[in-house]
Amino acid sequence: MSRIGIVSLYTLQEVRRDRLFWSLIPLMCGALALSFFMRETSVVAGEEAFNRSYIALTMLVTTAFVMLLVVSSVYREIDSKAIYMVITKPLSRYEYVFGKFIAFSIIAIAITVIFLSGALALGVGTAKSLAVHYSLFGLEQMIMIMAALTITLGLRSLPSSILGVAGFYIIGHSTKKLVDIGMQMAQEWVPLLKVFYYLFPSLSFFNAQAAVLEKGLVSWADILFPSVYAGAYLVILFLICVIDIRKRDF
Amino acid sequence: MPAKRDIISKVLFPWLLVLMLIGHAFLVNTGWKYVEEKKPYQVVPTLNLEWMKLISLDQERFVSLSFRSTFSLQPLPSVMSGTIGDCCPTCA
Repeated sequence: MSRIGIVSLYTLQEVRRDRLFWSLIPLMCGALALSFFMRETSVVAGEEAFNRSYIALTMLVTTAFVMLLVVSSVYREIDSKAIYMVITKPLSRYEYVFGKFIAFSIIAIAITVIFLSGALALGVGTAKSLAVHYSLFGLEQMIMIMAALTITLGLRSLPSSILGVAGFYIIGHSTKKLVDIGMQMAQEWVPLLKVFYYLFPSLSFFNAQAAVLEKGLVSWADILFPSVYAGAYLVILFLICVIDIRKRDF
Repeated sequence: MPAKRDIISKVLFPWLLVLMLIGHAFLVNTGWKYVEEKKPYQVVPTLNLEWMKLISLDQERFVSLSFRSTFSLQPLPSVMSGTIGDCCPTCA
């Protein structure tokens, strides 16, 4: 097995031993229960309330859970000095980052597949639109995982890493809206907002929620551009991480 | 003179990062044009639950709606303002 594969395998084993991992089950049950509760809040649009809640909550739960896993896993290795046991082996730091990335991507994709199966079973939308939506969501998760690795390895502190990842997610989801609002309300702020717009990822690309909920047209080609975009942004994050930890003594 | 490995990490990686960021800016611009042309704003929420705004990840529709109603110089359509008979020639 390659060195990247070994890092991935041991990361998965460590995650399985972590108590945090088993919090996924109550989180999933909570998301499902809240979606059913939302269905009961409306008399005429109960189905729509359920569908909207299911999609929003599954995305929120997956993101929050995977990000916590990434941050806690990397932070624990730095804090307990276990990372020295890894980086003193004949293993480059790039391989270490990439191995971690692959392991957490497998977890994120597995959770996404579970939620996709749930959506299909509960009839949240058509199979094609759901598949496209959750595929795009998987790409977003990969960007967020690499961002969480970069931020945690860079900051090396648990609270600031969690805040950093949350900030990255929020800014990533609102870059376009910020520029739009700035254009209308405060022209002088637009150049500054454009900096965010060009530096942070536009995570709103990774969303076909309208196609699922409004039964709109959707095609497999809709995944094409976001895939290219996600690949480009993953390279950017990987380069930032590599430049940052190249000669770091942790 | 830095070693060959150092040249890659000290020179190539930062320049590659700059190039990728320029590429990213291009993709963002292209992508948004593509998305806006292909999927224009067409979603109108039918629920009257204020707190749905808190849990929905699709915040754009709420921002757009509140933004339109608060800051738009155009008056709201008569259908939304509740004047019966003004909405179209048929009703009138």
